[in-house]
Amino acid sequence: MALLEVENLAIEFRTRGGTVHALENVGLSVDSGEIVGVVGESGSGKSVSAFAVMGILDPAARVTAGRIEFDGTDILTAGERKLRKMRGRDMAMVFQNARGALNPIRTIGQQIADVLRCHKFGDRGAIGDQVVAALKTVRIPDPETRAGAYPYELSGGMCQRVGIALAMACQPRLLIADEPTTGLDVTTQSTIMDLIRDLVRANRKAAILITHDLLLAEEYCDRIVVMHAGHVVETASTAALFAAPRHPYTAALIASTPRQDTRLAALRPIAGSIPDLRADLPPCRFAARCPRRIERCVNEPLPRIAADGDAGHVTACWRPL
Amino acid sequence: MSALLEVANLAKIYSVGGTGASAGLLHAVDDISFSIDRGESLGLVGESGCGKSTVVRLVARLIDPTAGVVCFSGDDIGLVPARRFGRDPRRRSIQVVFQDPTDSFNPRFSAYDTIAEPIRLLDRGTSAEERRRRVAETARLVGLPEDLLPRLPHQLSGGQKARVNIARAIAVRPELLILDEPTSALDVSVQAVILHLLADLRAELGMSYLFVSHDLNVVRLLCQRLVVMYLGKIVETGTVEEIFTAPRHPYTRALIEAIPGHEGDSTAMLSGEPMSPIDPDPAICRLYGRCPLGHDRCRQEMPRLEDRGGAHPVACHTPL
Repeated sequence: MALLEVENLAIEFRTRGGTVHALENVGLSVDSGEIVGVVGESGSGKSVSAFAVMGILDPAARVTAGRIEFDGTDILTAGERKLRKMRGRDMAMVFQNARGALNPIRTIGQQIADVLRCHKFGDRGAIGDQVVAALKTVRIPDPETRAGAYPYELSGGMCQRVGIALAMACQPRLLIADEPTTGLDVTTQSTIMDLIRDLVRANRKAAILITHDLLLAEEYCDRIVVMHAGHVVETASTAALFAAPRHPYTAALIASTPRQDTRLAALRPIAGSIPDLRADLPPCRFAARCPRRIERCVNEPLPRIAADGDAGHVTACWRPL
Repeated sequence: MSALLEVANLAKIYSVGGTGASAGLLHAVDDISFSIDRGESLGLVGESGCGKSTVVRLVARLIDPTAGVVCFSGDDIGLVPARRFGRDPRRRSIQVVFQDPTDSFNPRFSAYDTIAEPIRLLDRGTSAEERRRRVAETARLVGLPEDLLPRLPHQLSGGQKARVNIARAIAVRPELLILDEPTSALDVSVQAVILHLLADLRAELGMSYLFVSHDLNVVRLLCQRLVVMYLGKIVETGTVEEIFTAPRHPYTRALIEAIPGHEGDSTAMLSGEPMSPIDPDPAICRLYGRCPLGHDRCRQEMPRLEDRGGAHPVACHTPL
């Protein structure tokens, strides 16, 4: 049994402009000790999936089908009291904009102490030491002094480290990192990502890395889930996904990402854009952009086809590569 | 080939922190020199806070330099005050594609108004009909369907906004186009389209590019030469091939090693945070303290950017 199982999840948003079918038939699982990447263009449903797992969906969202099970608890039916206890202690999230996610009028030390106190984690008398220890694990220099700093006194990279320290303070079993390094410099990015990987590996935790950066996912994830317009189109081990992508969208995404040896002529854009999720869409939401489209793609429900000899490499395509 | 743009000993220093003991001088750009040939595309890379955007503003003459020369087509345009450069005939020759179109567009201007504005301001005397023709032609150049021209920014997708952003800058046919992170707000699928478009436009219109980006994998696709900046200084400059295959400055090496997917050895990584750009000691290398190769000389004498017996200039006492 995996630590986190998401099955057949469907979420819609009622808006004045119509109902947005944000997620449809989304499935993914995360085991302990594993880092799973969720990749796709903006608007593909990566963040909504993460919010659903954390139980922090916008009130306008409606879950119309599916199940989310985290360590034996059904997240969708659990009450808010139970979820409050779990968030931060059993599962935690690192948000994209770290400075915005921190409280601007409390010191970072106070904010970490809040999490520890709220979950009665560790020794009540030694909270100061635990705060310093938490800052140390994310390699913030001079943690004793920095604990008294306000978010505005820290650089973007430092704020992101504090965000990770907050999320990891109670040593949760699942860490969800939503674009944790967007807007940071590459050298800071690699430090932050190394940190997340080391924390996950050292304690057999699990992590979900949400990113639009394919190369980042390739470097840090064990498995990757590719999303397009609210569908999971392909799931595979990182090596298999890059060696032999099966869904045309995955292949297109790889071909449009510049690598260090890519020539401009070899860089292929993806035709079209993500469809309007308020419209009535065919079973395959990539069909309109797909060069391999056949009759079946727009008429029959999508299959889930496993690759020969690799049951973990699944693609939702009638005509995989 | 003659240089289109020649920048020599350029500096921009801001005073910060009020008066008295707390006052300081922020060295945003500190004594840098580089040049761009006609038809050449130069990449400017470095992390946030290294002075890239200040260089863009200085070269585009939106701000005045504290010292140094900005020579364009043989004239020192640095002598014209920034507030008057808007009416200078050379304004149209240097145009900028700004980073985030969502922020840099007038929300009440349609795509047509946005593209027509520089023609209206810089090519005074064009008739309305002539203007319509030129906007239509520019829209065609950037691949913007004509039926999108009446739309307002919020009615356009990210890729369409990027096209309008480029169209606005090339509407007056500049000789030098400055691109400030033109694709950083875009998804990879759209980024690939825009990169192809920029390469085609340069070939078709014969412009020179100053391409500013933090994404080295993107910069190398469009540029022949690179300038690497760190805390207001140029640390290394050379052809794209030289810099990527044999970086000589420890900072450049760390930058390249940090690209995801790069086979890295962790000894190249930098530790700590950059030093403050406020009142830096002119005798200490800006990377000192973070550099894995730092030694005594690095805190006694600022290394100058010069040939050090290798393929290309580098500002380091012990180049790799």
